[in-house]
Amino acid sequence: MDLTVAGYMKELSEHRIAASRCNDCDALYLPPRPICPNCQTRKMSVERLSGEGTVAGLTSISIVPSAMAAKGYGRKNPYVTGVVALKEGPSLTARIELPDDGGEIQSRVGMPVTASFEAEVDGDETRVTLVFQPS
Amino acid sequence: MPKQKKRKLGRGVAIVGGAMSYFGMYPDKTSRDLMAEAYTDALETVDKGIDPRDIEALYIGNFTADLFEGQGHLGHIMADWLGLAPRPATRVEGACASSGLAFREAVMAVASGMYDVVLAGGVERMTNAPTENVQDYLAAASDVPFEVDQAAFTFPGLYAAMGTAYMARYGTTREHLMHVAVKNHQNGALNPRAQFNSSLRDIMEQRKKRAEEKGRPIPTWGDEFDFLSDDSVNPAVAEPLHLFDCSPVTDGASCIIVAAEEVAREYTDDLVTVAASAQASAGPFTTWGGDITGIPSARIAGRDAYEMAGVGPEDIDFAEVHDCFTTAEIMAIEDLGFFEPGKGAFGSAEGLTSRDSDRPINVSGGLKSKGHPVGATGVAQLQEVWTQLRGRAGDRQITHKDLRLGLTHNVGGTGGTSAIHILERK
Ligand SMILES: [Zn+2]
Repeated sequence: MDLTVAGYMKELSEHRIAASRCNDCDALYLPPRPICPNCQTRKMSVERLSGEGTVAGLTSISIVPSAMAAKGYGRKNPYVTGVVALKEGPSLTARIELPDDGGEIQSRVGMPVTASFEAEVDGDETRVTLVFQPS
Repeated sequence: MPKQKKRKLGRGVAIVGGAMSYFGMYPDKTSRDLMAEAYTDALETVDKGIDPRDIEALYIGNFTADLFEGQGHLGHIMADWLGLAPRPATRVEGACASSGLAFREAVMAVASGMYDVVLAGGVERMTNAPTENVQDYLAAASDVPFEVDQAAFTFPGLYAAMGTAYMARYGTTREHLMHVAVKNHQNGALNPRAQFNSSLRDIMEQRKKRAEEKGRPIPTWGDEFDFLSDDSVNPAVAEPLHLFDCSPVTDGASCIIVAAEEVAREYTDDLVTVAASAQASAGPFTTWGGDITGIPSARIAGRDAYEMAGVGPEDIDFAEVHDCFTTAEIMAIEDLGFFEPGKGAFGSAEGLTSRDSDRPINVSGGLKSKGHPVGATGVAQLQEVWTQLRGRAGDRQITHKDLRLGLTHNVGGTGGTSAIHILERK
């Protein structure tokens, strides 16, 4: 794969989470990047991650951006998004689907979650986003 | 943290003038109108007066007039409108740290010997855009393909997620955050140019009075915390952040005139100099090694600033910090070394950051109450610290202690950019 934003998105569209590992210092990067900040090397190999991790931080958004308003989200229908620390080490930002049991949002930190791939068709284009569910 | 070599300015730099426009909602004013207000007021603050023709260059902080008002290329617009063309004018962009960076560029331009007198300004016009668009425009300061396109984060959402990580680790609650909002609104009540020039207690009483006048049931809030716990007046924005945890959308501008220390006495005998100027960058918080309970670039810039000034956090008399959200102020006071990690929330609740404390935080009202026209904020913070150090802050002047060193902490995005300055009264 290309170590570009488009390369990562193409992997996602094929239901894979791609990362890059530095051949010199072994550090693992998500999204995959072409240059290692640790040692400045450009010798990177691509690895695929499991999509299993834990919630590191999250929020329920009520004042929504226009793209989410167009999908029906808003004050009366907030959505949850957050940061997930994957078991391989790197973390990523993604939507999270939570059971609605009225718990305080911060009580979800540390919850184990698993990734699913959500396809969204917009005209000729299909965009795949990651959405995490409780494991 | 990578070790940096010790840095210093090539020559001393002083602030000789500074002002902010009234911050608030001004639908009829474009960014140039706001900037002209801040500039003309700044000229008036120069003790011995200044011939505007002494100004040799301009650095203008602005996040995105391109999106808010369809106007790019802001440097030359300001040079012309302030009557200073053909002097070189450079727009500086670092999201909400734009004018912290503009000030830093102005300081370095003077310290280099290139110029003796330089203007650093900042401006943002925001309130003319609909709320959803404001969320979109501000989100442009994040890592768009990943934080926005993938995760649908808004800016409050990013600081909310950091807040939950902090709350879960240290066992704090929304009530700790409320203390920050209550304190900063109390401070803003003393600042005539603040957008919210009233305490939360006053806002609460006004709402009660309005209900009474309209013959509606009078709310039974006992105190500010009751008021803030009522979702009907303090609705969720991005849990755990509610309306009064967030800085407002604001129109405003700010302006400072810096001069080489060796010529500064032509303008004033009451000198405040730049003891330190530091800046650091970072990737989005997914690159911070798993800890999102503080901002690494602020810690690094803070460390570099202390080293440059030859002081430590214990020497700072007061600070203006980037409280774009209540969670941000708590992280700021820890990142700057004023509190141990995990102690900032408890310290805030105990009043250790209030205006009569040993180290007052955000006596201007902060972004929270003073307002946050994003590109204007950094220079507005510096202007407050300069004014306080010279004892000219009127009703909100810190009087219970001598002021020698003041610090400004200006953050772009969620810490992609941090600019920290220490000012010293001579
Ligand atoms: Zn490496």
